[in-house]
Amino acid sequence: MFQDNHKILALLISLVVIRGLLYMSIVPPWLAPDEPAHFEAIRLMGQEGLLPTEDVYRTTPMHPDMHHSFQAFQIWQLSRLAPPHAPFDPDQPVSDRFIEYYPPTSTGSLIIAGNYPLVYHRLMAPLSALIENFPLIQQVYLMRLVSLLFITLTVIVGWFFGLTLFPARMQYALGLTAFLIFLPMHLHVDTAINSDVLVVLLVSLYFLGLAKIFCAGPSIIWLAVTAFALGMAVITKPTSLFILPTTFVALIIYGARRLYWKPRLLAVVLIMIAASTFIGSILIFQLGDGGRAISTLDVSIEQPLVVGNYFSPTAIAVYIHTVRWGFLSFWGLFGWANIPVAMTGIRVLWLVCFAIGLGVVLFVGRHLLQLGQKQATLTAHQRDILLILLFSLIFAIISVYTPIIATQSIRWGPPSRYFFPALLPFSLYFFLGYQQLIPTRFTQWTLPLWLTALFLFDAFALGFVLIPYIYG
Amino acid sequence: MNRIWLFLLIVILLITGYLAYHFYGNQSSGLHGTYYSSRYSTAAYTLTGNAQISQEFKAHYPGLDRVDLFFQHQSDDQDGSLIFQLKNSCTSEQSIAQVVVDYAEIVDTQPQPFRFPPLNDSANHLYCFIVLNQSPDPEVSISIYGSNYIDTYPDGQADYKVNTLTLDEASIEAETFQHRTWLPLIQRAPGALETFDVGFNVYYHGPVDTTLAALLSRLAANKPFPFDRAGFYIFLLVLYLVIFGLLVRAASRLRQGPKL
Repeated sequence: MFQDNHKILALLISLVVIRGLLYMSIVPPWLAPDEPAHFEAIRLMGQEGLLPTEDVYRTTPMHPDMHHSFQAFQIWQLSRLAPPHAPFDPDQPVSDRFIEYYPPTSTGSLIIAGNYPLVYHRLMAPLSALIENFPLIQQVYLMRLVSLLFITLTVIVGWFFGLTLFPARMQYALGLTAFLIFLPMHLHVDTAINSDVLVVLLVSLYFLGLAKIFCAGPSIIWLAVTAFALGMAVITKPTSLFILPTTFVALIIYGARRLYWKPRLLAVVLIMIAASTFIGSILIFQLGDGGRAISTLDVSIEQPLVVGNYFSPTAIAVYIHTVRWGFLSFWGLFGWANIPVAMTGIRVLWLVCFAIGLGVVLFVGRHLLQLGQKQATLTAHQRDILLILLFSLIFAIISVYTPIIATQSIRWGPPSRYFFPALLPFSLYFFLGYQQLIPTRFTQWTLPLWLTALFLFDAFALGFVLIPYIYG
Repeated sequence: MNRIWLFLLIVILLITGYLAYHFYGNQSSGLHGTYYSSRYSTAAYTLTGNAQISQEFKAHYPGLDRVDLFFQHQSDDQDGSLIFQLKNSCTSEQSIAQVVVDYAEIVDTQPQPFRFPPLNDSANHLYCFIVLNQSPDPEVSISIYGSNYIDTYPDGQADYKVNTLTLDEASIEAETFQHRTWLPLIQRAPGALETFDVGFNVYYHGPVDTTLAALLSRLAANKPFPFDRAGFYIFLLVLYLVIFGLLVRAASRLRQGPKL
């Protein structure tokens, strides 16, 4: 068992490093979501010693090789956006200010101090200063290697998270970790220069901490790790804010077990928490700047509350659009959200996800709610942490979609990388749901089939979508 | 359990091999350049009388055998045809290939393929296609999609020669074409060049070895060490497949606890 554990972990680490290198090398510099904006903010802090404010962007020239590098990798052509050439001179950019070069022609936004928590950028700034004299593209690749380190740590955390939850069933640790390693969008986004990769690592660490506290009992070390990961994640990116109500739910469940609450009372309290989170999240976006205000501790009421018709045909159309877009961007919408997996592939994925979703419902009914079971299949600790993880997924979905409901606009996207901090509980439940669909006599095939399906889907994304699009 | 992982490994190898052959093999290469997008649908250039449009482009792979263009009929009941000529340059007298297509065969806004025998030495060569209207009636026309005075394609320029034949002014006005923009997110670049490109796709059908060599060289282009070495990509791929095989083997041998 001990040897198996380490051997498989070593294989998983090797696999994520190799796959990370593959994605880093196939996706050209700048073509990952918001990568130019994050790079420039880090460069301003590390190499110019300036906070990336709007004034600084207006007065400080961008890296002198930025335009040439965009041209060399045909970024404007690949992103299908208009190249900002100077009039009558295609070799010169329209401006050497990043604020005029990048944002006017792309949908990406600038990283501006005050509007954006800069934890990731402060962390990367010393490296940027250290490699200032390197050619621009080398700087990009070296920073991408840091992202590769973060994603590798996430996989290691995921492995131990799985083992903590199911110490006698290593297949769960392997199943959920494999999902992290093979999900193409995860590799694409989190091997680039982007704060998403740090927040995914921190939230994963937070979940590991929760699992340790619930399954092995509270300890000073794991309480401190969990609190640290929670605080750091929240100030790193607003996409992690769903762990605040998750923490509340964890405290309630922990207390309920010790105070012997009746299951019905616990259920009512948890539903009330979910409902108030849903309504509160809508209000936050209607009154102010949403989660960003909480992350930056700059909470103020910016606009009067306007209650719209949330069920009008237009509103319903917006919801359907964003759900479809969210699904697509989770499974395969590469580049600057402009390189999609073909619709046939997406339809197959809808069917697969629907079947696995039914499997999740079966799992929750059978094992969490113990419906039709004569004896418990999970320990009380396992049920508690699985219940918390289930609520964390609900909160993650709330945090991604309530901006849409609140504003009745698709301005907020949402690209599903905003959901990636919840990848650990998602991949666990996805695997558990899948496992329910495998008949007991084929149990031994569960993992090999899972790995094969993930491998083939990734091969499809690379061979049918990314490589033909970028290098066709 | 040995059988399981061996069986799966064979299945994976077969599927991967098939996909690789399907995409990069000799029979049906999946590599094609897509230079058509919402931005290329922002303008339609009318091919009336003796009007013609040309686009210079660079082929990245061997076996260039198809160019797709996008058209819009002016009305349903017009008869006419288009001549597509592929040349080594836009000023060349000689055509490498020539294809004639009737208006009736063209479906609005859908890619209209122009096929010709594969050009095995097309990798890294510049070509030019010219589309001419061919109709006895100078008032019969069709439109071709392109970008609206934006230099969208970096490896070549388009050129549009307007009709010089006399047309009935009244009938032109009646048929004024309303071009369609599919996505509203199009932004005109500040200070854009007064130039444009035709929307087009190119397809290849070349030998496996030279196609793979061209792909590896494109993967490695402009990147720092070791990403600039073609061998690095082969090394990564082999290592990936070996480690994945070992993982499947370990997973199929794993002693699993009772199923939940």
